[in-house]
Amino acid sequence: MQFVETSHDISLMGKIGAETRVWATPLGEPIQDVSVSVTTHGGILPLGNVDWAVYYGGVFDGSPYLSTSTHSGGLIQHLDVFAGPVEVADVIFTDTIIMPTNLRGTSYSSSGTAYRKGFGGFPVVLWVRNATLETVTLTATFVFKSCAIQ
Amino acid sequence: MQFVETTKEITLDASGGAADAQRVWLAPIGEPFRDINVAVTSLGLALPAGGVTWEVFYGGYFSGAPYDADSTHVGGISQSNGLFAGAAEVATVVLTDTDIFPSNLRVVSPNSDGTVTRKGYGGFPIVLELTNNAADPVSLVVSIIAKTVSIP
Repeated sequence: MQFVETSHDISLMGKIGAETRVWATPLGEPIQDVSVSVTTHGGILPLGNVDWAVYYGGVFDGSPYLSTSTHSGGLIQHLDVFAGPVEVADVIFTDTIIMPTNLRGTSYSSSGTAYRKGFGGFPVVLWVRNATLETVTLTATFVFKSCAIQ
Repeated sequence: MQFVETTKEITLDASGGAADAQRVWLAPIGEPFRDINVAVTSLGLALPAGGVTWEVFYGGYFSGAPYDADSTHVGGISQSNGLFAGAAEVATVVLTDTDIFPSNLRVVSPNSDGTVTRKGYGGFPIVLELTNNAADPVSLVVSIIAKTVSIP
C-alpha cells in the first residue's frame, strides 16, 4: 500500500492570536487512513494554550495547495488545545474512511464568484493558533494511504 | 487493490424547478466491489438557506441506457438520508459501507409480464439523490468510490 507524508515546520510568533494553516499534499487518487500528528521535538510549549483544529474542505486563495497560498473555510473535524507547559508528540487526529481525490479541479461558477477559485475536493488542513506570548515551534505531519493498486 | 471513483459536478435548479432533484451513480464495475464511500463537497461555498436533502439508494433501475450519463435512475432501496443545512459549507462523506457487493454490470432479464421495473442492467447500482430546498441554484460535487475485489 502506498502512502503520502507531508511535514511542515510551524513557527508561531510570540503573540496571542498568531495563527496559520498547513495542509496535506494533494493526491490524484482517493485516500484513506488520514493521520495528523504534531511534535515539539522534545521541546516544551510555553505556558498557555496552543489551539488546534483539523478541517476538511475549504478553499485556497492562491494556487491550490501551494505553500505560499492561504486557506480559508472548511469544516472542523476536531478542535482541541495543547496546554503548556508540556511537550507534544501526539497523533491528534485519525480517520479511516476513504475520501475522494483532493487534486480535483474546481470549475468557476457561472457568476464567476471568487469563492470557487482554485481546487476543491477534500483538502485536509491543520489550523494552529498561539494563545501564549512566546514563540511556538511545532512540526505537523499528515500521513495517508492511497487507494492505488498495491 | 484497485479502486473506482466516479466524480460528477451537478447543478440543481432552485427549489421547484424542473431539475431540483438529481441522481448520481457509481460507474459500473465488472467485478465484485467493496468499501463504498459517497462524498459530497460544495468546494468551499456555503449553501443557500434551505439547504439540500440527500439520500443514498442501492438497486433501482435506469430509464435509459444503464449507467449512461443521459439516463435517469428511479427506484432503489434507501440506505441513508439527511440534510445539508443552509448557510454552511459541505465537505462530508455521507455514507460508508464495507460490505462486498456483486458486479453492478450484470444484465437483468426482463420480467415475463413485461414490466419495466427490471429494465436495463441490475446488480447493485449505488446512487445518491440530491434535492434542492433552496430558492437559489446549488452546485455540488459528488464522488462515489469503491474498491474492486480483484486479486492483489
